[in-house]
Amino acid sequence: MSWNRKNLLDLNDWTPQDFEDFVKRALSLKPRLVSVPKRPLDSLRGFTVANLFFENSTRTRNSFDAAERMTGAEVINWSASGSSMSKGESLRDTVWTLCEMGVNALVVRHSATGMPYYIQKLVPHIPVFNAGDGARSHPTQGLLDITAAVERLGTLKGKTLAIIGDIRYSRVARSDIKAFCGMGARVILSGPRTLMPTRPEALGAEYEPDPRAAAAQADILGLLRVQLERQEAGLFPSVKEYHARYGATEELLACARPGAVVMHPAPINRGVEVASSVADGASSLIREQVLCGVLVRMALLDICLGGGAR
Amino acid sequence: MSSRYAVDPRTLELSEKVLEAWRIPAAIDLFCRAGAKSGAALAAEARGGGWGLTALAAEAGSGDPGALKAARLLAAENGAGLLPLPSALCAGGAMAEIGLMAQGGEKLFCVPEEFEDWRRLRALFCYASGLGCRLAVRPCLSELCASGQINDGGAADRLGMKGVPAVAEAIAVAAVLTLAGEWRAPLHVRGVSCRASLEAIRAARRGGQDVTCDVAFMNLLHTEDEYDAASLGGALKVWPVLRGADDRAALWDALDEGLITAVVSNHRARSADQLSLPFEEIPFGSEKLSGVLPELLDGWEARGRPCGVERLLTALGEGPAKVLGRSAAGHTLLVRAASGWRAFYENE
Repeated sequence: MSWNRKNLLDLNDWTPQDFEDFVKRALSLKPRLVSVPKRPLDSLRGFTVANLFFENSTRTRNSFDAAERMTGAEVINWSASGSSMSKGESLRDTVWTLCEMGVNALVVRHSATGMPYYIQKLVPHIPVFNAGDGARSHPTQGLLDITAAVERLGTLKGKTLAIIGDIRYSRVARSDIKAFCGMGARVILSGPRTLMPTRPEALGAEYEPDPRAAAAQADILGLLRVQLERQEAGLFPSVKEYHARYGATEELLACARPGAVVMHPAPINRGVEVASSVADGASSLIREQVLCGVLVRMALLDICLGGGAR
Repeated sequence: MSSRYAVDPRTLELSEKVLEAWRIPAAIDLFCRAGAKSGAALAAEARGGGWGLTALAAEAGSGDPGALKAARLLAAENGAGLLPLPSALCAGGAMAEIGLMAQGGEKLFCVPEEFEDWRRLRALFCYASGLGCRLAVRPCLSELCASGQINDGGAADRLGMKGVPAVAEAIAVAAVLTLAGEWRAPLHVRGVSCRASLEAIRAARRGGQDVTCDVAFMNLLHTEDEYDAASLGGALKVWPVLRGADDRAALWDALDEGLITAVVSNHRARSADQLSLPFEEIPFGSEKLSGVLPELLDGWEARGRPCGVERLLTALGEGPAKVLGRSAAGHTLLVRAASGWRAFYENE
């Protein structure tokens, strides 16, 4: 595996080969995670990784935390609330302070677009891993989604992913488009027009307003969490209408291609973007996605920091 | 032998010579509001005046499918002919379930009057595009109207009153056309009253935009010249305000051209108490409903028929039917006798 990256700021410069190699590497780590007792990698023994979450997160932070421990790293979990930032410390000073404590890598989530780039410029000698910036990018989510899909479907070449939901404000959707297209899949976006990007083609995807028509072409239904503040902002009428028109129900799933799978980055709103019967059904990859999240983050830390690419 | 008509036209034949008669698909009043009137009184008056179908413009709060169903059931109790329209917004300005209602066959949704939240309006057009329905908007930039009561023109100058400038409507029409055009969302512009608005609609239609519009019959028949200190009363407290002669001529020309889709009563009854207030305190409205069709036809006759008869009749039947995406049962019989036009609803 050829690898010369030290950071993961987004997936913009990843080649199809990078995606293929990375997914293989991530899946190869699965026995280490699922065996009892676990078999950690230990390639990051002596490293300290700081998780800097300027936005609330449970799933992504815990997943990074688990992956860091599985690679043998020491972990510092830092969050904006209760930190010196609440006393007025600037982001720059916070980052510099942490790095002076001997941190060897930063995992960063921030609501502002481009913040991982900004931090990487502040501390160019420290690897930075983007755990989500604004609505722009969530690269490890894109990677874990293709990993889970490959594990179930074998290959993504020639397959179609239909992402249904709030695309406009979704960093997951943007990273999924990069990752699935990088793996040779086609991506169709669907959902209320108010939640779509102005120019879907600029993201490298097609737009199909009718979710049933989108599902009919899909091997993978990618669902996104609907944030209720979008309703308050007047972007869709009600949870009831959203579920009836765009929710992943048994009926919508029946429109999809035979063997189609359902994905969701979670947390899920049952009865809104997905019916419980679909979320818990045989087609659902939602739990596999959680497991792949740890595998992908282990692989990332290992190959960027621990020499795992060799 | 009983008549098929709400009011028997044979009584007219007995007393007067019929000079002309037209039988058209049931006349549809695209926008009417009950105001201070009961549903039963409204239904009886509309039928008696020759209207086959009277669409009741929605206000905020009637955007819930259940509320719409209830309103339709109540309307049906008053006899066929009243059609409460769904609102595009719920109380508080939240978007109504227009997707579900459109799935159920609704074709026209009203944006409540005086709604000027442009961000939400943009989202509405965006959401509605592709649902196969049309949004009806009555555009007006309220900031330019202040507390205007009459047209901001000769009458306001003469009477020293605050005016409602035509540009307040024209700017808002242009803005709404732009918002709807951005998403290619079908639009209905309510209550067009001035030349500038018509020009904007004409340009949009030439550009391929799906836009329909209506005019209140008062704006076709009257002008601001009728405002004077002695006549200021409820009859002239209408919205859109009565404009100048040039704007009225433009409305007739637009009707003749086919640019105006519907002529509406714009009815909104006010209570006797409201009508007894000083002019500035009387709410905007219009009492006329049963007399609208004959008065409109008489006015058209008196002006030397400024638009083709087919155009006028289309704006009373097929035009509004197209906007509603439905047709009313029955026909309307329009009869010209020596005393003027009469309209009868023919129930089939």
